[in-house]
Amino acid sequence: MSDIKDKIFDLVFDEIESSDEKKSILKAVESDPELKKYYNTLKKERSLLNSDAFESASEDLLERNREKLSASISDENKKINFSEIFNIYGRKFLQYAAVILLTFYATMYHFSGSGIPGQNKSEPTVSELKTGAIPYQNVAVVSGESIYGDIDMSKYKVENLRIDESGDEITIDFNVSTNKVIKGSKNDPAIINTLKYLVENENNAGVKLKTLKAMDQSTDSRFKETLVKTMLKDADALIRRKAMKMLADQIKEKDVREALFQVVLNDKDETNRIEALSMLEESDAAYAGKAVKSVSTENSEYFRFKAEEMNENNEKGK
Amino acid sequence: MEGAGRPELLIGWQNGRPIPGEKRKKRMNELKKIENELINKAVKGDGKAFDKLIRKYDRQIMNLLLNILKNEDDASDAYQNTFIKVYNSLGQFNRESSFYTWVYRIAVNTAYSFYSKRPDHAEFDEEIHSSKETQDFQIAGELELSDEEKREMVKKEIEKLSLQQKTVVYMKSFEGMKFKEIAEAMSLNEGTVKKYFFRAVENIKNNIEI
Repeated sequence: MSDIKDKIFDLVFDEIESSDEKKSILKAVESDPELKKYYNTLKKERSLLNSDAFESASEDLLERNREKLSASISDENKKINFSEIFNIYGRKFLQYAAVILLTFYATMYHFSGSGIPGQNKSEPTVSELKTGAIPYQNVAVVSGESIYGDIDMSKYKVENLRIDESGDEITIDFNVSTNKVIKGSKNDPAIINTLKYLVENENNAGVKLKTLKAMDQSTDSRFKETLVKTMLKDADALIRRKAMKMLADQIKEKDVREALFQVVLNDKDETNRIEALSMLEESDAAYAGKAVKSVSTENSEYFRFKAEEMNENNEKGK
Repeated sequence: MEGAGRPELLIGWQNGRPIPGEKRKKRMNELKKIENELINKAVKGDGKAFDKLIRKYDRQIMNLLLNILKNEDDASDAYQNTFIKVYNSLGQFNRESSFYTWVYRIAVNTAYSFYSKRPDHAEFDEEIHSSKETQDFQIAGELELSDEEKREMVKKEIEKLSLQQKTVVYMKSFEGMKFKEIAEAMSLNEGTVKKYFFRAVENIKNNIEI
């Protein structure tokens, strides 16, 4: 679409607010029969797409859902956050348990008259007891032992707890997570590498997006390779798109353009292919044309349209 | 259609028309203030405030879900999922951006996720156009049609659009959103949204030969 046609389109579909601009567009429409025809066609199209063409929710449906949501929200508020309870009470208990354990152990030692703890390798040393690094079988119940297998529970948050009872057997199923803080300047290799690692290896799309946003605030060129890789290979179309948009500033670089070319050709998501093509078009129309030529035979209405548009432009050029 | 129409509380719109200039700005600021207060309360667990907050937009959201999913049960489930997600992530909402486009974005993603899980769903981004049906409409288009018949044809043509095109057409034509707002709600750039809309309108027009 030419510039004036773009404006007419915007006018008809309520994108223009300035009354002066509206007047000047209408003036142009009035003075050119071709533009007037275009304007009238758009008006007809617009009239087709009035609100009657769409479904509208009934009051009853809306009310039923509001009530259900209200109940769900109230349930959400009542949900017991196990990890919070563990953090508040569990940790306190473990602190006291260590004292009880030491007192108990010291008492046993006093009355049994046995040697210095730790000399017998089947028993833990005091420091081992303090850190809870080794479970001490005899007093495990008294200590409220925090170690299961090789996981020291006192260092982790418990999440997604599920307890199943079957006969005499009980299954406790949960995830553990811990907190790590990495602090540094935006150029700190530890920061850069962590961000790169998270984008390339994290499974959670939300975490990836958050990490990409953090990368977006940095101008470090070391991210380029990760972004290109993500744009081409990530399983999530939205993540690929985000990485693509973040490469917009570097579109003049050959490897970025070539990667975008690959997106136009191969991305499974049509939106991504269109985005990539738009970016290429803005930077290098000829290169974009080459990309469209390569995909014009595929079953996509949009790319067929682009190919036709390009052919028409070529014809006009001749 | 009963209950149809543009959202009265949609920022910047009133009675189906955009509110002009200064008045629009003033109204936007007022609504933003109220909205922020409600968000603050809801973040602290005030269910009533959350209720008030969502009532500003939930009709539009339900309409959006109905128009994408075309099924009341799925739309209801998606509605619940959308607002539970909104409730649980309110604390992460960036106050500088628009609340309603943020809610829209969550709703669109939820709807797409429901859509893609359907066993019979068509390829996510495929343009769905049956040449036979198109031909039928072209023949019908040559006849004199009543408004009702025309409306039905347009409805059927909208059904055949790709998911993204359908979403854009809905947000633009029914909700009266600006392309910029739609782009924000769909995590796309404005140019892409315009292209989707333009192509969708072209498809509809060509197939019913207005």
